[in-house]
Parts: sequence; structure tokens; C-alpha cells
Amino acid sequence: MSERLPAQLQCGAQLADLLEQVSTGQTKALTPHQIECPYCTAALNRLVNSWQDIERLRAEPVQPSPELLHRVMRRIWAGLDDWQVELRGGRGMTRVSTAVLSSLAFWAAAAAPGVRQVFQAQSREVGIEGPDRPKKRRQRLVSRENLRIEIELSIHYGFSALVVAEQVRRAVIAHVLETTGLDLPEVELTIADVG
Amino acid sequence: MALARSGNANAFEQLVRRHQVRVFRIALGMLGDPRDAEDAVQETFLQAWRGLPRFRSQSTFSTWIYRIVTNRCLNLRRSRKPSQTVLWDQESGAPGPGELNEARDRLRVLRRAILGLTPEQRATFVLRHLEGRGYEEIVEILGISLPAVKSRLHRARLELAIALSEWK
Repeated sequence: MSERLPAQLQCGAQLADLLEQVSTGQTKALTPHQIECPYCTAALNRLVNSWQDIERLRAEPVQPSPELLHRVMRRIWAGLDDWQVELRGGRGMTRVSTAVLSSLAFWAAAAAPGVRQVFQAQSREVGIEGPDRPKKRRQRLVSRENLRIEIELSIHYGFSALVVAEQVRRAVIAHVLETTGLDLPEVELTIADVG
Repeated sequence: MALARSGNANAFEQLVRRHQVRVFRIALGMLGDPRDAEDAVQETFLQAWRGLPRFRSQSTFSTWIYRIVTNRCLNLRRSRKPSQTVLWDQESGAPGPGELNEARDRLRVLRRAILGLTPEQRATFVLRHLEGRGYEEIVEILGISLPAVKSRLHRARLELAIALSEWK
């Protein structure tokens, strides 16, 4: 163990100035005073050693436990509704998650002319409110009539909001119909920004 | 990113995978205890998930998530009494050669000294010197001016240098 360095060395040099020199890697660019001064030389040597410890700490491998990701995602999935919609046709039942419809709507909206950015696309169940609305809504069927897609987006400057909105609506309905056979009854749009 | 913002949990999982180690490193540097750090990281990602629809890309996702974790840790540190500080230097390795033991001891002193900084100094130091973030990004993460960042760093480095100078 050595004595702690003082904030001001006996020669009058400030420890903070020497430290700045070390932390910015300028230990070779010594002033004429520093070349001659034993206090500065000794302090610089000790500071270089200290700074190497900080570099060592920075290089130490640090990993969270492997369960962390699962803990985060478990809570996210638990908070998500996993509603499903039944598709017509075929032998046996086919269900599609409303998360799929949200993704389809997102991509269709993003590709529509005049759209700058899609902030979010969500499938929602409408028409069930109040005490009848189930508290736990996981893994259950939603009827097509109660399905609504909500999209929030920004449009390019110079485009008509009404025209863009209509094109987005048509593109989303067509894409969902083509992919799943579902004819969406309602697509609600919010234009949140222009740029 | 855009898909995650639209509520796609699988896309968000990829973001968590990509950023969890760095976010954890910041939390560990700030809090000193791996369990506290993991709790802070978990809450950080949940807050990010809930806030994603409002995230408008004025900053990068990483800057945004660093801001969330730093604020969360700062609030935790401010609300915690000094006696409740759990040290991040309690890991013990098998005894090794003298040099190894000395290196380990030096790092222990350094960790202790970092935990002895004020929460604000520590946040700035961890972001700059342990995470290697640039000054401008730290300004954005901490929401303070550039001179304030430099002043906190200066103070933090000085405190650490004095503490570490006890070692030859």
C-alpha cells in the first residue's frame, strides 16, 4: 500500500490535470516541467497503473444469467392477448392468431404509397365492453364481425391524408384477404405525423 | 425494430437478445449487485416494450434503452440508504498466484471506489469508461449538458484516482 495521492502535488501540479493526460492516453506528451519533476513522474506512474485497472475492469466479461431473457419474455407474452380468428373452408379447423393479422396489416400499410412510417398495427376485438368482457382473454376465438385493425402511421409531406388513408385501408384489406381469406370489416387509421 | 414497435413480441425478443448484455453491464456498474442489476434490466425491457409505440426514432434504440436503464438505476440508488449497498466485489475465486491475487484485489478496490461515487458521477463514469459511450450520446442518455457531463467525469476520475493511488 502507498499513501493516497493529494489533489495537488508538492510541486503545485494538479492531480486532475495529470489524470486527464493519462485517461486520454497522452502519457508520452510530457511538459518540460513533468520531465524534470520527480513528483509528477511518480504520480503519473501511479495514475497509469490505476488507469490500467479501469481498462481491465472494462475488459472483464460480464453476462446476465441465461434466465433473464426468458423472464422478460414470459412477462411480455403473459400480457399479450392471444386471440384467434377461425378461417373458412378446408377439412378441419384453421385458426389464425390476431398477431398474424397485425403483422400482415403492418407490412401492407408500410408498402402503401405516401406512407412514411408505420408506428404500430394492432388487431382489436370490438363490441364487447362492460361486465361481459372477459378478464382473461388468452387463446379464445374472436368472430370476424368483432375484429378491427388499428394502424398508426406517418405520411410523406405533400400527399393527401385522405387519399393515403384510403390506399392503406384497401391495401390492408386486400393483403389480409389474400393471405387468410378473412374479409376485414373495419380498418381504423390514425395519421400521427407528416414529414 | 418497426415490427417490434407494432407489437410483435418475437421481434422484440431479438432486440432484448441484442442489447441485454450491455444493458446489464450498465445496471451492474450502477448498482453493484448482479441480482439487483438483473431486476433493473427486466423492468427496463418491460418499460421499453410498453413505450415502444411512442418511440419515434429521434434517438437510436440503444441510446433510448440506456436512458431507461440509467434512470431506473439512478432512482434506485437515490432511494437506497448507503447501508443497503450490496457490493459487486464479493465474488471469490480460488486462491491463485500472488500476482493474480493482487490483480483481483486491485479490481476489488476499484469496484468499491466506483460504488463510492455519487449516483450521478457513477452513471457518467460507467457510460464513458466502462461502456465506451461518446460524450454526445451520454448527454442524450442523461439529459444534461456537455459541460455537466465533463465536470461529472472529471470529478469521478479524480475520486477514483485518489482511491486507487493507495496501490503502488
